[in-house]
Amino acid sequence: MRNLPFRILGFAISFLFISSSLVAEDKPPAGFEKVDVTIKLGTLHTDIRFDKEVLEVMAGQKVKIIFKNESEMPHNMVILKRGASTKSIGDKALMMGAEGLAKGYIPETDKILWHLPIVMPGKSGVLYFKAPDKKTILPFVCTIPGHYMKMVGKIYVGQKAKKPAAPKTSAFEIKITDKPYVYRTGLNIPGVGKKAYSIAVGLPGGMNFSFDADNCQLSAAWTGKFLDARKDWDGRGGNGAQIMGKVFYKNKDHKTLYFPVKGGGKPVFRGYRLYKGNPVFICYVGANKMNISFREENGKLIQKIAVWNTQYVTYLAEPKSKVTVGGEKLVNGEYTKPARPSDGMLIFEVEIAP
Amino acid sequence: MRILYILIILIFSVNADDYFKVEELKHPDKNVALEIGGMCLDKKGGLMMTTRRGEVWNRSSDGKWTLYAHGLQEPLGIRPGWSEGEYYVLQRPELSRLLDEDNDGTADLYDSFAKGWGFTGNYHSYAMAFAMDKQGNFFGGLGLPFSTKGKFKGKWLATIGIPERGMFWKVDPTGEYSQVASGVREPVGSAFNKEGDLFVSDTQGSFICTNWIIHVKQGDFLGHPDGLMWDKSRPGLADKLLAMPDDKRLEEIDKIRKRPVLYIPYRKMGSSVGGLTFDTTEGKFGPFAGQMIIAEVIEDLLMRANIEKVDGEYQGALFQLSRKIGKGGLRPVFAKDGSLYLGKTARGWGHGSGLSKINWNGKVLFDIKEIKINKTGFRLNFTKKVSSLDASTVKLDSFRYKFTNGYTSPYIDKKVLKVTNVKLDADGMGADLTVEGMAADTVVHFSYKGLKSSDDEKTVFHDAWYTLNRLLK
Repeated sequence: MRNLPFRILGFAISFLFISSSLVAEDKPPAGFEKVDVTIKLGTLHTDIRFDKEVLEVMAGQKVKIIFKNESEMPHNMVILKRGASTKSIGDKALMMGAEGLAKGYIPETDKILWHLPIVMPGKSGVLYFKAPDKKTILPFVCTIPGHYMKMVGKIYVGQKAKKPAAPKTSAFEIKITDKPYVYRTGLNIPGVGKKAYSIAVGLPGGMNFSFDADNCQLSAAWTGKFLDARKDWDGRGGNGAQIMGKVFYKNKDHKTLYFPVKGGGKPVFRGYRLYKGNPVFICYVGANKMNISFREENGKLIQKIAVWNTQYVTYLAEPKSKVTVGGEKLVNGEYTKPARPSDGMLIFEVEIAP
Repeated sequence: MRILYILIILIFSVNADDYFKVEELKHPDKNVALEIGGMCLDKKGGLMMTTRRGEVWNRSSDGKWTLYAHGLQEPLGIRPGWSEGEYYVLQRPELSRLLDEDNDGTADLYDSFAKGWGFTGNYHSYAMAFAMDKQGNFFGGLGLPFSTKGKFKGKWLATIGIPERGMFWKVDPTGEYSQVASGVREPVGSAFNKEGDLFVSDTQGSFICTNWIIHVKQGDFLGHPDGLMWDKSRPGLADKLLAMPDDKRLEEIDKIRKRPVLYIPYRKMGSSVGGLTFDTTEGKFGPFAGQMIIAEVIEDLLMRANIEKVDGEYQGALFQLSRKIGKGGLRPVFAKDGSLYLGKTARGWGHGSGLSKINWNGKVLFDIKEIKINKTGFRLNFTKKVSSLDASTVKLDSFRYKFTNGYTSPYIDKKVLKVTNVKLDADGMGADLTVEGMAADTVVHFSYKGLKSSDDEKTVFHDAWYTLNRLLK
C-alpha cells in the first residue's frame, strides 16, 4: 500500500548522492553579458534549506544568481510570481511522478517566472533574470519532492526585506514546569557565541542559567523562557540550542574564581549531582574540589560556591555584571574570603542581579 | 509536514513480513520524541534507550516506561555499569557514568567519567559506535566535523584541528582515555563477536569507498586519512602523505589502509549503515544463528552476514534479511527470548523513528545461508534443500572500489567470474563452486535469481556480496 508521493520520494532519493554532469553552464544570455547584481546562494549542509532565505534586488536590475549546491542532495531553484504558493508548486512537482526527474521537477504552470535545472551535489548552476520594474516580493522554492516544505525563500524587489523577528514561540521550545530542567548543548549565547560544553538549567519561575563545563563557571543567565532546541532537534540538528529569554549575564572567557592552587592547572569538570532536579556542579582545580550550585531568590540568581582544601578564594566579577555579596557591592568587582583554617573549607554566595 | 508524518505512520503500520512479525512499541506519551540513538538491555530484561533530545528511557519487560535521565548532549550509546542503577552513556563531549543513588529509578549523579577528545559544537561531531568489553573497557569512535577545508581534501568532513576527531578510542575501567585506531569517518555502531573481536560500521563518503564493517584492533589505520593527524602510533605519517602529489597520496593511503570485513554496496544494500550485532539467539531468530545482523538508517532494510577468518583476517558475505521492517534502523539489540529490538531514528537523513520488536515467525527464508571461500572457489550452504544446481544458476562477477577523496567510489576492474564446476552435496543443503579468475582485494557479487529449492521455492533476495580481501592459500 505504498502511497504515490512516497514512490516518487523514493525515486528522488534513489538518485541522491550520485555525481552527475548536470550543470548549468555559465553562458550569459543576450543582454546579460553585464549584470547589475550577482547573488551567491547556497544550501545548508545541516538541513534541507537555502543558506539565504531572503534576497534583495533593486527594481529593474539585471540579476545573476550563482547557486552552489554544497549539500548531499540534488536541488533546483524556482522563482515564482508574486503571491504564488510555494507549497502548491511543490505539490504539483511531486505529482509529476516518474517524469518529474526528466523535467527537472518543473511543473506546467503559469506561476513560474524563472528556474534553475537540477543542480547535483557539489555542482553550481547560474540563473539570469531581469527583476520586475516595480516593487514586489517573489517567492522561490526547491521543487524536488520532499524539499519544498522547508527549502523556500523570498526575493524582495525594490525594498528592504522585513527582518524576521526572533522566535517568540517554537515547536522545539523546552518548557520549564514545576521542576528545574537540565539540558546539555552547544549553547548559542548572544554576544558570546557558541559554548560547546554548556549545561543549561531552567529553574521554575523564569530564571535560567548556563554553566560552562569547559571553564567551570557561569557563562550566561537569563529571565523568561528557557530554550529553543530547534537547531539541535530539527533536521540534522546538533547546532546548539538558543536562548529564548532576556540575557542579563554573559561571560565569554573572563575567569571569575581564583585560589591558591595545589597541583595547579585549569579547572576540570567532573560532573553534577541532581538535588530535586537542580544540579550541583563538581569541579577540581588541582587538588581543590569545588562545588557550584545556583538558585533563584528575590529575582536574583544566587551562586553558591564551596571549596575544599584551600586557604582563600577570590571571586572576580565579570566587569559588566551586577554582582553583590550579602547585598553589598564589590570593591573593584573583587571579593576574597579566607577558608576555615581547621579544614581549609569555605562556602560563600554571590548574587547576580538582572 | 504533518501530512507527511501521517503518511509515514500509515506506511509503517501496514508493514508486514512473511518471515518476521514487526511490532511498534509506542511510548505512551505522544510528546516524547523517541528518536533512539543508543540502546542496551537493562539488568531485568527491559531496555534502556537514549534519545536525540537527551533523554534516557527505560522500558521494562512488562512495557512500563520510566524516564531514567535527561538533559544529555545527544547521547548515542549506552551500556550497563556494574551496580544496580548505573549506566555508562556516551555523549558528544564525554563518556558519563550515570548513577541512581537513591534507588528511585532516576539518575542523580552524572559523573563526567572520561574525556579526551576535542569538541567545538560542530553539528557533525558525533561520538558513536559505543561498546564495552567483558573486562569493563569502553570503546567508541569520533566522527569528523563538517568542513570543506580538510587538508586531505575529503568532501564535507574533516578533523579541522579538533583533537582526536577520526580516531577510534578506548577508555579503561578507571576512565583513562587512549587511542586504538585512526581512520574512521563517521563510525555508527560496534559489536563484539563471541571471540571478543570488535567490529565497527562506518559510513560511505570520501576515502570510505562505501558503507562498511571493519574489524578494529589496536594500531589499525582504517582508511580516512584525517585521523592520521592525531595518530600517536604513526608520528609524521600525515605530513609525509600531505607532501605527496594528490594521486600518489591516494595510492599510498589505499595501500596502507586496512580492508573492511564487509563492503556494503552503496544504494544496493542501503545508503546509510546503522549499528550491528550478532545473532546470539541460537536459532530463535531464524536459521542464521551466529551471523552478524546489520541495520540501515535511510532505507527499509535489515542485513545479515557470515564472516570467516582467512589468513588471520576477517572477511565475509553480505545478504539481505528483510526489506519490510521499517526505516530508521540504528540500534539492533537481541533480547534473551530471541526477539530483536530495533531502535530507530531518522534525523535529517531519512524517515522513521521509535522502537520495533521483531520476532521470527518460524518460517524458514529460502536463501544462501552462507558463502565461504575455499581453495578453488566458494562453498555455499543453503537454508533449504536444493535438488538441482548448475553453473548458470549462480552468476558471479567481481569488482574493486576505486579509492578516492570524492563522495562516491566507482567500481573498477569489473569482470565476470566463470563458474567451471558445481558440486551439489548429496543432501542438497550445500554446494561447492569452482570459480575461475578470483583475485584478492575484490568484491564478488553473487546473483542467483534462478536458484530454487527442491520444492520449487524461489529466493526472496537474489544477491549477495563476498568481500574477497584474501584468497585461501
